[in-house]
Amino acid sequence: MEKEKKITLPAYGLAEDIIAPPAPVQEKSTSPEDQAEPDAVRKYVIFFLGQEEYGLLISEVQEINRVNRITRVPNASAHIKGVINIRGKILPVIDLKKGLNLGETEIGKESRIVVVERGVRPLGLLVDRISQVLTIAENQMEKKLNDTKIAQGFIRGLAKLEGTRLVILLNYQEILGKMLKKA
Amino acid sequence: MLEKVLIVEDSNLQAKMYQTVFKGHPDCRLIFAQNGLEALDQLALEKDFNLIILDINMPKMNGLAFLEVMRRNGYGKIPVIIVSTEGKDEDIRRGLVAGAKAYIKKPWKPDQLRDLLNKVVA
Repeated sequence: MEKEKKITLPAYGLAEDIIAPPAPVQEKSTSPEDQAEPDAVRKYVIFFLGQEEYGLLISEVQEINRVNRITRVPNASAHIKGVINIRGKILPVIDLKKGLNLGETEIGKESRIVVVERGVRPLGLLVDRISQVLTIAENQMEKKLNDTKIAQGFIRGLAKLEGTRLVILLNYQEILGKMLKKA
Repeated sequence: MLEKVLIVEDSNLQAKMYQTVFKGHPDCRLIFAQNGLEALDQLALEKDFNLIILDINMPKMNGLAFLEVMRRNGYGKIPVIIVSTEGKDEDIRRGLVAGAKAYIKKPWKPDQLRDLLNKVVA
């Protein structure tokens, strides 16, 4: 059987001449990671909380915003920084550092709010600064440490990168479940 | 009519070439970002862009990752032209599937970009 020949694209062109219209963005499924293949690769948004790097799946990230004005909410739990207005929508903002018992975020010019999806209502996670977007393979992730399961609760696993670099990959649904229970 | 365009490109030489082409749109304001993360910042700061020209290969957050996040938020309707290099057709296809309206390959000629701009914003 002849292999299908891939046609080289011309120097420039319109999408409508090359491909079928893109599918609408799907609602996030409830358990996208449980059937992960060992060599599956996924993109993560990597950010700093203090000196450590953490990651969230890019498919869970709706947007990344600078910190403008966070309006404090009276009587809210300590890890709820307040609410923000994004294009007319009011979003609660969680101080992720506080929620994970890593201290409190001091808002600076590199601080960002990572907006994640939560059902129909997005939520903002306040982080110290965004590092980069990385592609991490499933087999780069450590899920056990000396027979102790570290991939549990809100930690999806530890990614071992170049040199001594480690990134803690988070399971945002677990984090949100835990933090919203505290609220 | 092009009034505000976001150009996401980490090469200063390419940036100068875009400025030359856009001399034909004297009322158009160009905003530059060096990677996808800066581009997200600019989207939030400046709002109301008519067009985004997006290099695929950039540090920190490449064009494809940027498109993926952008499609999920309120900026998904801004037309995007992706820019890639010869030999990277698969990246171009992925970008078009991810929602980009058009593409152009480097090294592009000014007339090619002008023709594409006319088609995209028609």
